[in-house]
Amino acid sequence: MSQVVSLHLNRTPSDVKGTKYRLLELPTDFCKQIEDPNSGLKLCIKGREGDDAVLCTETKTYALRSVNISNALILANGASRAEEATDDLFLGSDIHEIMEIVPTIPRIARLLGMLRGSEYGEDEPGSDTEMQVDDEPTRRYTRQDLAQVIQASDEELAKAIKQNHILELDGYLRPLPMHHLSKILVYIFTSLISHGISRKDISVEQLTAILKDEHEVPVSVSRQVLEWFGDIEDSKWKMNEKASVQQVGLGLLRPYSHLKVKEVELLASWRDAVGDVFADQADLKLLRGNFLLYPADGANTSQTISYFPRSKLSTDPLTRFSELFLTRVKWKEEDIVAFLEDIAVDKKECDRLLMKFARRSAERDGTVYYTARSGHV
Amino acid sequence: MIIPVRLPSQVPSPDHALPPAVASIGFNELVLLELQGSIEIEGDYAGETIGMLDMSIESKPTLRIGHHLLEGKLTGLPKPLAVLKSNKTAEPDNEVSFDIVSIIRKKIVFSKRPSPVMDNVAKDELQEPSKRKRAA
Repeated sequence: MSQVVSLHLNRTPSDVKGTKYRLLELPTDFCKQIEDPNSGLKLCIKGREGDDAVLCTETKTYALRSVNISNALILANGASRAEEATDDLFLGSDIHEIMEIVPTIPRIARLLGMLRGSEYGEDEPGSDTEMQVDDEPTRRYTRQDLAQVIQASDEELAKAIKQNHILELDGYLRPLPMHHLSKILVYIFTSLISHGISRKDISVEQLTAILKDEHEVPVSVSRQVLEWFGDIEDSKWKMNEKASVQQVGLGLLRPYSHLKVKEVELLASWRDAVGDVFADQADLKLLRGNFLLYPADGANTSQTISYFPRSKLSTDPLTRFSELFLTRVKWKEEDIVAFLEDIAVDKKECDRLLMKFARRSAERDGTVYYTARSGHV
Repeated sequence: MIIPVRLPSQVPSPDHALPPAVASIGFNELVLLELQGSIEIEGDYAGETIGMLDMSIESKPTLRIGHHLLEGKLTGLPKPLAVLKSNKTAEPDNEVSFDIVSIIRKKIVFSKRPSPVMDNVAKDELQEPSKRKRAA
């Protein structure tokens, strides 16, 4: 066969639009997965119109970035197999853009916004007639509805639904308001004590029955709460004690978003709520990223604390930093890092954000502070 | 909106085949060329021959377009490139999906300036017909 190939213009120029190729640059290991027919990988591109598209596997989310190149890339294909093998190549149209993928945190901020208004209410289950009268016809979303618009992989979306304490009732997603959730958890703690249930041997059936009979929490709700705060195996609930204690603490701290409360007072009521068995687990460390501490001053003789959850802050780094520096002019390093962990993939990314958006300064005693960069805020 | 992306193993093999001379460079019947500059055509010359790609010396492929000779080079890509092709299905709801039809690892780059070719075209034409018995 000849080593000379003749190049042809594409035979059907009208067709060029239809078969436009896009080039996507892949990291080598990602590419291996794509090529392996047994990897079980599933890929899709997600986003609403106007969003920056993301590429999702079942577990991860990647941002798609377009890179312009000055040279022309041309994909050429051979002649159709129906004809005899020839030395002809047909040139496609010039490509001046390739896409790259960059790992990104799932874009789930939209989730809570969409579900606003479909929160689970206290007295709605059971009495259907009442519900119809009270409830305004709000749009309810199923998991599939959300998967269409939330730019996250299925696994990350499921995790976000769990983390944000969203109930799935009759196929619809309903956020469980925080005050309600803490109440249920406190019921759980008190039930464990009052019924003398060992923390190592909790029967799901018994506990949900107690919650229903004594506190009117429907089983469909309490079962999901148990799943959020532990694992259910063989009809036994293996409680995630840390998470449960933490949630009760958050519930107690939440009312103090404008007022402050004395740290000792908060800790006392927290320990009281979870009961003696779990009291030693109530620690401010559990509430990291959700509070601000104020040192003792003239008005308060002891350290005070207020509710300041990072989940309510913007996920856009620039806006996040503006919000942080509006709240406090000067931040200790360990304090500000707690409010960046959820928007940075890792420690390195966190440092990069601080470098870009904040000014670092060290005091004589070695404490590192961050202040706003002029021009950014 | 969710746009599914089909992996190479789920995409049917293409119905066209690369010429043997470049088959080892391409993958799944597509080969990537890089040009500094672009080919501009006025008028409708679809399917017409515009140049010859000579692969006889693999380290030094040449591209001849008219009286210009471009010297190229075969290079590996630092990262593989997936080739995505959009499928507009005929379904009424206008569902779009993408197929990864190929993974490209090598390209032929022509980054140098073209040099003029002085030999006459007639000589080529005298030799060529015997070599190129094309099924017409």
